[in-house]
Amino acid sequence: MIDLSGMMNALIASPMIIPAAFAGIAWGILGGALPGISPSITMALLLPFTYGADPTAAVVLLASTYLGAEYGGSIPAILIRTPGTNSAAATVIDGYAMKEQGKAGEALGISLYSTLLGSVFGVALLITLTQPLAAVALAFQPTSYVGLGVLGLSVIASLSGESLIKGMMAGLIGLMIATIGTDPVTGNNRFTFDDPELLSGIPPILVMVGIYAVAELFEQASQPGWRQTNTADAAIKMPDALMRARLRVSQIIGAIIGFIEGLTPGGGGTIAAFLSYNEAKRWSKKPEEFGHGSPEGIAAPESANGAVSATALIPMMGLGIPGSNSAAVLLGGFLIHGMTPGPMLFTKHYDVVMGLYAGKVISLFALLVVAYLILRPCIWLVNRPKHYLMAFIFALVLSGVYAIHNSLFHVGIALAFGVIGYAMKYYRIPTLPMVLGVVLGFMVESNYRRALVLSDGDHMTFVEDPIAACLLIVAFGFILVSLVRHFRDSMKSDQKVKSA
Amino acid sequence: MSLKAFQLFAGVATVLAVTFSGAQAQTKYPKDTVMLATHSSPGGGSDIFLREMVPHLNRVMGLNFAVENISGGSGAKAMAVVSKAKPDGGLFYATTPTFIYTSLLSKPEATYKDLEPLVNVFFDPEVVYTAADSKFKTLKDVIDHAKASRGKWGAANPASLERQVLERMKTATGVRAAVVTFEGGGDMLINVLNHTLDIGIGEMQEIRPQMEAGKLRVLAVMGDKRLEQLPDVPTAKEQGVDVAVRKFRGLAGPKNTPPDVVKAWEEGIQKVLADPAYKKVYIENGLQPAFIAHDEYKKFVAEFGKETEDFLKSTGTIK
Amino acid sequence: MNRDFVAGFIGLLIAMGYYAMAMNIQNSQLADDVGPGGLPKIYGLLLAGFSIVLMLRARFRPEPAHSKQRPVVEEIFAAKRGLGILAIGIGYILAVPFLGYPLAIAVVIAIASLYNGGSLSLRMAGISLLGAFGLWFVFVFLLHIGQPAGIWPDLIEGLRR
Repeated sequence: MIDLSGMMNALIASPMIIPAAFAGIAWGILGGALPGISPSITMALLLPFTYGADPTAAVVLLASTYLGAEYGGSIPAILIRTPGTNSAAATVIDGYAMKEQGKAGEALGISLYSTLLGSVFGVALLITLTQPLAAVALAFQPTSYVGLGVLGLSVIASLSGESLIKGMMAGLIGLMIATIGTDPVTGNNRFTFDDPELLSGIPPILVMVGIYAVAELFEQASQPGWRQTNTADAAIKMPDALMRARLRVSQIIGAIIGFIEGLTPGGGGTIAAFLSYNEAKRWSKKPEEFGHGSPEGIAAPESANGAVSATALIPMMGLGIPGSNSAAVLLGGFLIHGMTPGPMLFTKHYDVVMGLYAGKVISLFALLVVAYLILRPCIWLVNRPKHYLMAFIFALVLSGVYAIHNSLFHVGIALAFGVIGYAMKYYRIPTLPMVLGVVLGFMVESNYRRALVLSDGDHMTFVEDPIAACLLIVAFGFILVSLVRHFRDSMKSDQKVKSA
Repeated sequence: MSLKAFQLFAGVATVLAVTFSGAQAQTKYPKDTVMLATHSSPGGGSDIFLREMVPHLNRVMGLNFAVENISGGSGAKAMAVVSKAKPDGGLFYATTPTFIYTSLLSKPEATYKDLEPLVNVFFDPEVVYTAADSKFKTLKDVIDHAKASRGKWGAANPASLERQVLERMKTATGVRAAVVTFEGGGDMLINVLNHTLDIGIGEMQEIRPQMEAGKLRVLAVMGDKRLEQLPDVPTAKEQGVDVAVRKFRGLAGPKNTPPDVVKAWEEGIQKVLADPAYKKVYIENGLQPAFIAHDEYKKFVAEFGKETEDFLKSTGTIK
Repeated sequence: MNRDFVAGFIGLLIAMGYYAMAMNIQNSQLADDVGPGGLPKIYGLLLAGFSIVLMLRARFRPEPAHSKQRPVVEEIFAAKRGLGILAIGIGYILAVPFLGYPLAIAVVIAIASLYNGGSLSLRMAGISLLGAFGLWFVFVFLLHIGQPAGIWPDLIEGLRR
């Protein structure tokens, strides 16, 4: 099914594809690395410049920007504990821990290597199987999304750290935050305090930047003895053979979950990142290292992000249905050149599709080259004296958070979540479950209610849909295993207390 | 503290602030970038309408237009944002009957009465469709099925003209059907294609790629007469279901939009509708050009609002 | 008092406040069986339940020992230093509509680095201004984000007349 000569011909017909791929990657990394500038905004900013351009080069530019932005988010996640994009939030956990251990260069190498592998896998599927795979997206009903969401939430049970109860509390608070805004079925206002800024809810990136980046700034400022500048590696270090062998399982997990999430409209990369983080932990030989600088904890979410950035194009091109905001901007890129994505795209504009495929392949090389060039200055920047570094992180957060909706109110919310994150650390409440609740809450609620309207209130509908049934069984299995492990551990610690 | 350092800091900072705070040269139109907001999610009806019009409008009006999706609350959020904006011609909202329904049904903080209709651009015929491989061949099949068991009908948004059409179909035929709402047209389309829903209702342009590929079958046109583009598809009235609607597509802005901005738009929209390149695009999408000038459009929207309010009250949907 | 007990108590307060608001969500004729308040009420009840369990457990079980735990007094003192950063942030939100983005962000960089142990010097002033220019270049010039312009455009307009 690979039409290599078709791709070559498209490349010869519009050689602008090559610079477009490089420019897209560079621009994407810049936008992705800035907190608050999402991949879709980064892409949308380019749309006006593509009007006059060659259509093939235009879509290649946008698609490369998507990959660049998904990768770019991981750079500040690792270096300054600030997720640049929603889907980089899972990378913060182990990426920043590795940086704190002076292994920033290694962490960046793992993230680049994993993003590349994930997107190679995704691009291969995109090129070979777009039309048959697009049909898979159709298998997802509202019930299936509930299954997917519950599976995501079940991760709370295993990522709650020392206290399951506190993890549940944090998860519930996350779900509560997700109910802020207008109701998905009736359009009523909920928990908005009559403030129009809250009508569309609290963007998850505000929560993430608040509880990770801002809380870390509070924490650093409140260290009694000033922590010294970290002596991080001076340059990016790609994983050696031993490390590559260790990362393999987590990367396969990440790539497969990313592939599935990219395919299902509404799934989105953030869920893929967290799900694959959790699965990588479950299947790891060293699960205890997760959260304390595990290389696999970077590899899994980053390979998932890489895969999503390619497979999200499958339902967009094959069905004309964008699965995410970023895919929707790319759809816009097709539309403004008079092409309508959908089943007919492949017959009507075959050359453009081939050009896009060729561009996706080139963008993989572009990512490697551009990342190598920019990572060294990035590492240099974070090794500046600590008071400057902290001041600039703070300035970056204040600027980026404003950019989401041009709203100072949002800057205030991010600061508030900084306080909440700091308080949660003080009370030893895990923050990860809250992020999951915020990310998944709306999807679970809207589809749960939709499914019940369809089934006339019958909950059996979740068992009748095979996808939902499988996902729910897996989710409850996970919860059960975590509960058993939790009670076994707490029994042990009780005995220790008694014997002491 | 070094005084010199402070003086340098203050001096340079002031220069910086003055230079870069974005004092812009005035052009004829008060803004050089105009945001066009829609409540529909990317890929939905209004979103495609704007995204297809924007490149032609850029050329005709010589401004830079950008589309922004302000989803949430079926337009409640978008109306709140637009009504609060400065009336400087920098932000407009793509109106459809949805903004009237949302205003009446969910009592948002800003309603259609807080916005000023600018001009109308199109009428957009609504069609009822099903998956090409479904057992429904006519609208009657769908109604019969809903009579025998329970229909599953989809509308793109919680409170919208589409939903109201389906509710009116229920009342007109006396059947029991679940009306399911989504986060936009693309989302619903999947559920028609995979047979989760019996039928969906939407505009021609939303379903065109799937229709051309033979994946969807149009069962009925929900207007007064058949469409030029689909001469073989009967209207709902012809099939014994007495429901017809006229979906408008235009623009609205914050109150007190300056007259020169209005004038620029009245000229720009008429020009763009006559533009051959754009004409080819919108005819293919099944849109009917329907320019309505500013003053008349204000009346048109007010009347539509009144009719809708009466209907909703008479059916007991609102008090 | 035990820290877990306080955490549970705060959780219970949040749950009660949230539940009360969920009760007051206006219902619509178009609502489904679950309704807009359905899931929020369940979330509120669950959070209340977990909070109570946490409080009870904290009463009857000793807090697990944490080797790295600092004395509470010291932690409260430390938290006060964190509040300084928060104050800078709030100050920025209040000042930026007047000062405009480039100037306000330069001041933030200067004050935040002073607060974190830097010393005032020509070098620091230069770095703050250069940094502000860099951020302005990326966000406003490249990305077209409409950061607040402050009073300057009006001021210039006023001077011209």
